[in-house]
Amino acid sequence: MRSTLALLLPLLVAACTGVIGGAGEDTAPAAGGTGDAGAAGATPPQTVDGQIVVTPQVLRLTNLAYTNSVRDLFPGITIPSLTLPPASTAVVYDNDAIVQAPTATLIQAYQANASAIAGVVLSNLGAVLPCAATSADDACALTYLSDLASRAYRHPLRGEESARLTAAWQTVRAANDLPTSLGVVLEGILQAPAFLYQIEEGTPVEGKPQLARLTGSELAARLATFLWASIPDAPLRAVAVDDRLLQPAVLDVQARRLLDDPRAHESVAHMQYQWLRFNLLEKIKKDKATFPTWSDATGPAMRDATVRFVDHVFWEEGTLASLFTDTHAFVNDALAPLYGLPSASGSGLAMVTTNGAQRGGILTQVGLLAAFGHEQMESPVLRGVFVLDRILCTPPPPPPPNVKNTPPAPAQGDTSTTRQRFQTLHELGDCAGCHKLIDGVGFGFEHYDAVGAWRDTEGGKSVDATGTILGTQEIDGPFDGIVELNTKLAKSDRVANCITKNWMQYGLGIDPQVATEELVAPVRSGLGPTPTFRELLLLVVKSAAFRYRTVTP
Amino acid sequence: MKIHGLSRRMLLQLALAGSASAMLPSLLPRRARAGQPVLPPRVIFVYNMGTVRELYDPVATAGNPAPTETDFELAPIHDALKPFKSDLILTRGISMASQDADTSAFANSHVRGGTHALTATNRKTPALAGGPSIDQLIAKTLNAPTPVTRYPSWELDFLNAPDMEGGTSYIAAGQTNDRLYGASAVLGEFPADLGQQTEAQKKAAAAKLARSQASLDLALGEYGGIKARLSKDDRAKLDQHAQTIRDLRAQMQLGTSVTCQPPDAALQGDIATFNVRPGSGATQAERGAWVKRGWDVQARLAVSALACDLTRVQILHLPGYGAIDDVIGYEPADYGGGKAHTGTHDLAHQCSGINQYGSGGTLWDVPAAVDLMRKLDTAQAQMFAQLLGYLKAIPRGDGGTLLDSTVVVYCGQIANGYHETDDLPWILAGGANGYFRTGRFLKYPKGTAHNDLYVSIANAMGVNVQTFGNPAVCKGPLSNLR
Repeated sequence: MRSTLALLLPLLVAACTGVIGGAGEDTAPAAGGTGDAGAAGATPPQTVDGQIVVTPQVLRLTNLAYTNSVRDLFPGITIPSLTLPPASTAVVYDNDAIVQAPTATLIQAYQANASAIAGVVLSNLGAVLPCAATSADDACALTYLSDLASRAYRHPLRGEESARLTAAWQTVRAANDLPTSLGVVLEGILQAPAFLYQIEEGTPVEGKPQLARLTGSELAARLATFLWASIPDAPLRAVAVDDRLLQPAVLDVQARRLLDDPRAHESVAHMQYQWLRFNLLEKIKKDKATFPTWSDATGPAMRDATVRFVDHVFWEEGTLASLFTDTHAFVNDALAPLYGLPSASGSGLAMVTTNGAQRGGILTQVGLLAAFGHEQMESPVLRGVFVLDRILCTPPPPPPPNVKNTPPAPAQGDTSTTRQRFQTLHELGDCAGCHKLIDGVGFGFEHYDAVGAWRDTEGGKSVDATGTILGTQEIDGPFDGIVELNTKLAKSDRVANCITKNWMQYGLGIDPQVATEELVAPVRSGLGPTPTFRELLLLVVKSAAFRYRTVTP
Repeated sequence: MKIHGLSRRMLLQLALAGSASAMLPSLLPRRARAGQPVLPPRVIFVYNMGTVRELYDPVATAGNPAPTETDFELAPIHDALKPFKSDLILTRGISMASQDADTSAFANSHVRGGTHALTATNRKTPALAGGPSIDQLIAKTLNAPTPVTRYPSWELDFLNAPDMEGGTSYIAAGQTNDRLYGASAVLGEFPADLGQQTEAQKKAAAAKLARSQASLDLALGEYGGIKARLSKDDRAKLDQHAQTIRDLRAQMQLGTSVTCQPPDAALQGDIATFNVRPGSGATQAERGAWVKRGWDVQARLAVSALACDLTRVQILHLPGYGAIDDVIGYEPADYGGGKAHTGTHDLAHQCSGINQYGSGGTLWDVPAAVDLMRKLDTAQAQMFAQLLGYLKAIPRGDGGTLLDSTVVVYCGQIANGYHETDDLPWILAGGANGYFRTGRFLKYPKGTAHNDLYVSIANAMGVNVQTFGNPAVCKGPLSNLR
């Protein structure tokens, strides 16, 4: 039943113009699911205990994971600011291998960073060497480098790796003093594929020649990358090296331990930042003539406040539903008035409780409302598309090429409301099909202006914030305002599926085409009646998709 | 004398390059000899988000009914290009035939053109192109089997971070190249070891180079030691990573032999000024001045890099709708009768000529709106001319200039406000060492594949290919360019 429901909305969305094969979004995967279209259905997917196993492409460290890994490789040493080219925004998550290109700029940045890191480490040898820096000899240096490489590569050094490291050390050492040689080899380790990429081989699975179970170290690497965006620490390595981590109970303990560590906040925030399109909050622009209190500081405050809110929801409130129902917000002097609250906290952000009749969850955060709006007026379209795309995982197709897709601003003397102008525009031609779906949700936001402030009237007319959600076959129907919509979303299976899908994309480094309904459903079905984010992440970690991979022919 | 950040000594060195090869080894091709070009050719793609193609058309000279190949006047929007008329090839009819042949899904209308603009082949995903772009084909070929420039290519931008859109330059299917955003980032790409050095500095640089190369050798050894079974795509990606390391290793060696100067204090000062971005209280004029300064320093840095032979392949992103508004002092306008515009993007959508269905934009018959559109295009043409001026100011040593050794390709992602991708007004400037016969206006049959244009540009750069992009629409080098 759930699967059927999940497929209906994409079909409706696809049908709204007949242009895009939106149904492909959740169609069955290619065997192994590498993200390449075209092979769907060629062979049945590999499964373990009924759960689909996929073959992620070799993942490269994200910029965050690179920076964090370096930090954790050299505890006690202040690492200089590291520069890496920004990740592609053509995909949702930066660990999607499809866009991880080894460009000349990137490889040059890795080299420059490695050189800079080696520089500061050499200045702090006493903090890293297992012997006194003043009496360090070759044996001490090689011991340190072997340990460093093992931690950087996220597995105990294999025989051939150890031999190459020793040979490299001897070659470099023959022409350089000991500290210089240490720096050279350290730079090399930081540019090695085993550090920069998550390369997995796995071990055979009896009776299933096309499947491989991850080794303890490979599973530990996935776990630390997922939950910390970093390398495994000593306790995790200890249970990985002898494969105890493969035991479900041990994996559970370690996953919970990592989630309890403050380092998990950064990876969670990184995922939510991308999922909820917070990059748009980096460049909010508003017209000062229309919004006189807007200043250079308002946009950054909105961004920080929205990030704080989702962090609060994940770690304090905890439930998936609270993403739509929690009435807290983080405000400063600039943001409080937008919530209809008195200014009291100065420029720093403080948590407050908002008017529950007007606000609830992520969709009524002023930062999100402002980001999905234009400089002078709000945008029912951008807001509606956001809900369809990121909350329901059913992005509508793009407008046909020949349409004018600029927002309808009021003409001189025009007293129409935003809703009326958009309605007039979207009733034309072929627009109506898709916009019935998009605006049906987007018009529900009409109580919030372009900076997210509540309004009961617009241009002297009462705001009409009634909307209709269509195509879910689950929460379809009319609603009045976002608080009512939130009630529907909070209890929706479709929404829970979408959240699960996004976390699996991020956790496995796969793109949306691979994160199929069949892959997501077993994890989603494991959630209890009041699902929590923590519970969801633990289910992802325990899933067959996280612990196994298919064998590359 | 200072010309846009290049010192007198560098200009002198460039001027003497033909006879003083010992001073500028990297500026001279290894095969340079009598009768060969003084400088190897360079290419710059100037990328514009959108155009209104009718406004780009040359006009007839006095007394003639229509412009011809050699008898024409530049369009009014191209007044700034008049000093370069003899350096230009203006075109009509060249189209993204590869886009018409691409039946895959796309994310939005600009992505249709954006994914095909420089790759000319079917998309890999709705938002990502399906093959390497022409700049990367040229850069890769020029720098194989071993690099000849410090950087294979540059893509410079200071404004247009694409959101949920694929990039412009692709090193392979789905794999966007990295842009260098902002002038300071570009400045940082100029090697620190440029210019004259003391013996001690040379020794230190040599030692550093040796250390860096040793560390890269260690990393390369690890790439060679990967035993895991990998998919074909993964293996290709890791092989490409290793090859890029090998290239970097060789490029480092090139860096020590370049004797040109880094950007001078004047340019560095302008970059510092540019780095102070106008706040929300800034006037439109101040914001416009910042955009113009951004383009100016970007163009000067680009030309400096070409002159220094740090790279021979570049993409420069031209300020487009939004940013250009402040440059031209744009104000929304309402002409009554439902005819209005709220931004330059909106203006361009409505102010386009006859589309494929035979209808015109709603503002096409409003002279004030068309004049405003011309003002926008004029501002962009002035920026284009500014770049050409910087290239032409650098003597090559044989009476020619850096522009003569360069081909600048004015391109974009859509032809008009209807998001059409056929009949885009491509412009070439500079002859790539006489490869192209400039000073002409060429009309091609509508639908002529831009793949063919790129084959010609690749050939001009010494890359001897007969096809590029989707082979089903590519017919080989474009006729009548030489």
